Amino acid sequence: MLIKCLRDDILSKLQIVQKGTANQTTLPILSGILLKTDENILRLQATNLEISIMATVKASITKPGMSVFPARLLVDIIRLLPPGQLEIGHDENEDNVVFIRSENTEFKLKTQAPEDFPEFPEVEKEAEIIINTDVINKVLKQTLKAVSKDETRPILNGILFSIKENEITVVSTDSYRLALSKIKLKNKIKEDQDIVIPWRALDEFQKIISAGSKQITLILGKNQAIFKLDDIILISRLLEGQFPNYQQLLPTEFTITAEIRREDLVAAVTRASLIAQKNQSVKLNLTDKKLTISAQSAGIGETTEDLGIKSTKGTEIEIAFNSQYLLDGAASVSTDTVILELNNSVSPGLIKSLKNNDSLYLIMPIRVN
Amino acid sequence: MAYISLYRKWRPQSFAELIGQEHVARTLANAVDNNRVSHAYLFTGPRGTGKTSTAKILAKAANCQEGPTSKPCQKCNSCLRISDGSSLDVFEIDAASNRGIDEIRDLREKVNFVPSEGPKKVYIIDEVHMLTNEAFNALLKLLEEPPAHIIFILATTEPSKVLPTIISRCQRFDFRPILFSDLVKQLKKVAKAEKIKVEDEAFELIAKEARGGLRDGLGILDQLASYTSKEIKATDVIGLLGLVAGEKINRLIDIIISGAAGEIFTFTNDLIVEGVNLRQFTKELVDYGRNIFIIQNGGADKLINATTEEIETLKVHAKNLSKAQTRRLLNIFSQALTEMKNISDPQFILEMSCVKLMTPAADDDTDALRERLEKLERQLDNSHISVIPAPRETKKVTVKKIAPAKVVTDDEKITPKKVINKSRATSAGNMSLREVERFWPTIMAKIKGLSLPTHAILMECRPISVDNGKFIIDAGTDWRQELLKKPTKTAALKTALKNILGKDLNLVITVGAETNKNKVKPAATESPASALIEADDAVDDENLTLGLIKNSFGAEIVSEKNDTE
Amino acid sequence: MENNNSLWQEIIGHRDILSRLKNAINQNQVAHAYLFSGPKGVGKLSVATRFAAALNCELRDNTLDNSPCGHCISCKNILKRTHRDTYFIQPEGNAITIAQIRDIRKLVQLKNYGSEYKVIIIDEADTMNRPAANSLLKIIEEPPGPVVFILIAANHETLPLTIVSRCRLVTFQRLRLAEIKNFLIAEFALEPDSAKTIAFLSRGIMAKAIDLAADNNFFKRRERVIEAISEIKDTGPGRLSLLAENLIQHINRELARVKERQQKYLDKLVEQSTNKTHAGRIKKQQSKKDKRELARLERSAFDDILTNLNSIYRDAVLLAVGGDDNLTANIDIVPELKKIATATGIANGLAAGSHVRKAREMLYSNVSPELALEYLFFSLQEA
Repeated sequence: MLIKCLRDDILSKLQIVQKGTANQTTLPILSGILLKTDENILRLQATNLEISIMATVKASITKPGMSVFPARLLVDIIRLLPPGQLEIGHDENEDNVVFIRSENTEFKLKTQAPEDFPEFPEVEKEAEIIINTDVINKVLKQTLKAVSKDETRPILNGILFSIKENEITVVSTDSYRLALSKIKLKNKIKEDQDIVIPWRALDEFQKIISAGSKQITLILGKNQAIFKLDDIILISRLLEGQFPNYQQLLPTEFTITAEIRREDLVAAVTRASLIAQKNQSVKLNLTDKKLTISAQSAGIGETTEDLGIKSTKGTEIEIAFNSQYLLDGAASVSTDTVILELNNSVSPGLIKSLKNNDSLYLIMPIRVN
Repeated sequence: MAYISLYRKWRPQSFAELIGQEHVARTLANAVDNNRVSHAYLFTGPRGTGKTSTAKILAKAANCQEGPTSKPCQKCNSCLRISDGSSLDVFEIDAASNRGIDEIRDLREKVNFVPSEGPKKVYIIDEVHMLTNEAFNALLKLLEEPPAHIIFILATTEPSKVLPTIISRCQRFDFRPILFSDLVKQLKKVAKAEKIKVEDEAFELIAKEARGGLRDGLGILDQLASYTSKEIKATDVIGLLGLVAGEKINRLIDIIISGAAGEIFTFTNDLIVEGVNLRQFTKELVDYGRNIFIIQNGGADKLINATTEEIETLKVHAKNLSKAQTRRLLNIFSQALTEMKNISDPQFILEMSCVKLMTPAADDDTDALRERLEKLERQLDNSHISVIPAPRETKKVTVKKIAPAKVVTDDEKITPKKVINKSRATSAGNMSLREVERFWPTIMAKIKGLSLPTHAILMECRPISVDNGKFIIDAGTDWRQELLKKPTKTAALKTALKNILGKDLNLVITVGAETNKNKVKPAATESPASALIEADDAVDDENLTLGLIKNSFGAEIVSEKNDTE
Repeated sequence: MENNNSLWQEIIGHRDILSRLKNAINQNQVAHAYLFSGPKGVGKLSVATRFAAALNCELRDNTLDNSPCGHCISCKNILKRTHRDTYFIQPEGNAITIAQIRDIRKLVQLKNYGSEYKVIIIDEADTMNRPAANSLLKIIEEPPGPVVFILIAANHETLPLTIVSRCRLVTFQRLRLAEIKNFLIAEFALEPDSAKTIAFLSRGIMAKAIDLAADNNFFKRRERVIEAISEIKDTGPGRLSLLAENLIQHINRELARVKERQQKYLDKLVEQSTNKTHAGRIKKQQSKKDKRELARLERSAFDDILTNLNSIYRDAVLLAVGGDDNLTANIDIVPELKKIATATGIANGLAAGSHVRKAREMLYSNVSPELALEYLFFSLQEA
């Protein structure tokens, strides 16, 4: 293989693809990136067996072929080379040596046989969906927070994408809170489908999104999901198993409703969390006039703050929540006013926007003694 | 759709479906109905007796939308989700892979959250004995002040490894191995429902092999059903599990009685041709010998682990074999079993053991034992102090043969420390164990320079004491002892001793004390009989019978007696 | 119908096991966890690999025995160990670690790449340490989706009962003498008597039989052993040491060859590695492996000598008690055996057998082989 390309072109793509490499020692080749020529482009591939990432770079191909480069080293070298044209290739005389050349610099690196690199997965396409970048970005940001990282219940390490007609409901829960977002689609999808995508894949994809264009394509397969952003492709294997039925977890009605300015709530809870260090529990006392947020920790101290509220309905209540969960909930609402819905001190509370039910955040209270 | 194994399919879903744990089921059902469910339980018992299943049933009972009730409806969302493992209020934690303090700390934070669905959050902590000590202590705090909406169910197969402070904070339920008859009953029920045809005798063989674990029993049934579409016969079970049919053992005993040693090789050849597992064969042969022994010594039929038909043959063999022959049979084949474990040479070992049994003249074991006895006697005469709790066989013999009562007590009570005091009193040049141990590394270093092979052997040996000009050393095994007695080795050791301790010492190389720790010859745990039989002519048959019976039936018999009386 | 060209057919022996596994596929009753237990080298891994291939073979045909075809992409990849839904786990260092099991657990949660079954083969499962075994428990009990675990162990009794009781136990027996004998005659073109001798000495372990059959020195070495046996009684200590020395040198020459090969391989590995830390790690790991291999080979070479000795004394005892000539292990040298039998007698034959066993115990408890052999020869002389 021998190609020429611009340093800036390849660097940005390498940094993305690098995220798909594995640190495992068991399969050393997975710590590498595969470079493979195709017509007049260069493909970059990496996989860690759970996710695979591919990107393309404009290049002039002198000699087609493929080589594996150690990912970290390759990225570091190219980052430190001056902008301009690079020549990358496989040494003709030495089987296991690859090189990177810029105007005055040459690096020679040891390589592994590219044939040992796992093939890029093929996916049987079941449905293809186009989503605006800012929409998916917001949805991922919200649901990634509530996903469980505890490995005892593996299915909760994933995010549910429930596709029904022209709507995708995206749900995550760690059983202490549940985040739900809806994505409206322009077209109806032929077949309803529930898939669960591991959170790591979505986390990586979310990091990629910010750099790209306005739309992404989501392609669903039986066993894998593909995210496409321009020429970047991320494939994730799906999780096996049944996601909990989230509809049954959402209370059908609430007896208490309060409208609060989002900014006020965030500021007050953030302040209270300074005291609520140990178990992060903040107490909410809601009357028809005000919301009192308080926290106390033995050995540290206590705090109380009164907060005006826009409107309220229902009886008085005292309830405790984890401060971080409350903040995450408030952050998931994009409007200035949030609605907090409650039943009693031992039933879950719901945070949503004033406008609609497209984004819901359910939190389990902490029992107050 | 993937095939679901029988034990998963037939996992009990209610207290009523629990097999063989009526005592547990009844108590728990009552607790639920009287609203007195405790906040912490400890379920102990062997594998496959229903611990995790019971925990899940309890979770259902506590959270059923129709409940709490001892008869969960199995239809509401809560019941269904607990059954399929998707409930957000029931946490199954595998302590084996989440055994650290961090996991339990995290748990401590999370337990304060109220349940998402039902009234209770249930934490099932499986294999709880695997937790680290720190984790145990963290868990302890949690058990001291649990939130009201929490039920902890700790399950373990090894309760002895659970901290007593944990145990005392839990309601403990001991799950019993499932009774043979219950196993057979349940196996029959499952087979009928699954339309698997099984011969009655096959059921019994499966139940015997399941050894009190229902999961094991259903596993075997499952396996048999998957391997054949016809009726499952006893021979299928024998084939699958590699059991040895009784007639083969009968034939060997007949050969032994006939005295035609040449026949042994034809016999073993046949075993090999038929693909019999020789270790399994030897195991069953020892069991058989034990049964003969019990009959020869007047043990009751019910003590014998065999079917009625087998007992008839046993009785004939018991008549035709001499008691001494039976003793030697047990002795020789128990040892053969141990050897088979260490060395993968089962055919040679089996053949040589048979020939040995049939040619008593060629067997020098008793002589060897006598010789060792005499040696011990001599040592006792010289100075009984240097005798350190010795190998089990000599100790036992001491009781019977030589030892006046006084020496016996000394022998058992002497600790290295006592040796120190006494020896110091006799001669200034003597050294205690502790003193010798202090010099030992220096001596070893010296020897390493003198003779590497000697050093290699001594690595596994232990100095005991210096007493009356004798350096006493424990070689651990007789082959090491023999090696050390070779002149070159002795010379090297003596030179080193002289060099370091500054005087000429005689060497006394003993074998013992360490026998138990020694990997090469693990004490014959395989068969409890062997330990007793070692001392062959010293122990009378009556005691031996008693020991055998105790060893082979243990507590089970005792409880059976209690029941009938 | 047995398909004569099938991958099943390549397996020597174990017909009953194969037919059970085939039946399980046939009746769609494949369990999610199997435990293949039996002595090392009888073919457990071969059967496991083929079973994995059969489960995922694209051309599997009921009428053809459900045998893996061996040439579809899936079969090829499984045999090459590059199949994406089939994982082979082997001890890293001396044991299978909890980290390896955690990796497996992660993979088990993911949907298959498209194969019918995910297959996880855990070789030397009895090397799992306690935490690893316990963490495997939960996954093998109720794995999500179509997963088949195949645990392989030389002795399943060392595995925790909780694991064993969750698996379908498949017990592999030693191969029958005739199975090995016929294989050796067919594949190594051995004379029937030589084949029988080797088959007998392999004690039903195919891997051992192949080793012995491939060992050009086997019969030469036995000659030396017989020479030693006949001389041992009436020779001076100098000559005795020489006899032992001869055998040891014989082995050392073999080991030197292995060392050379190892060094070459190590050099190649280091040359191929991508960076320095990686090279260092690989070098360390490989050297460790090499050292173990050498120690193992040395031990097994001595073990072979002991087996030889053992078989000769066994034959001597057999002949001395009037057993059938045809049942001797060293059937090709019955006249020599008879001489030894007369000279040795039953009692000494038995005693010699137990000396050999003792020497073997020494070998297994890491006494140097030279020392063990020296000890053995001296005790044989005294016997």
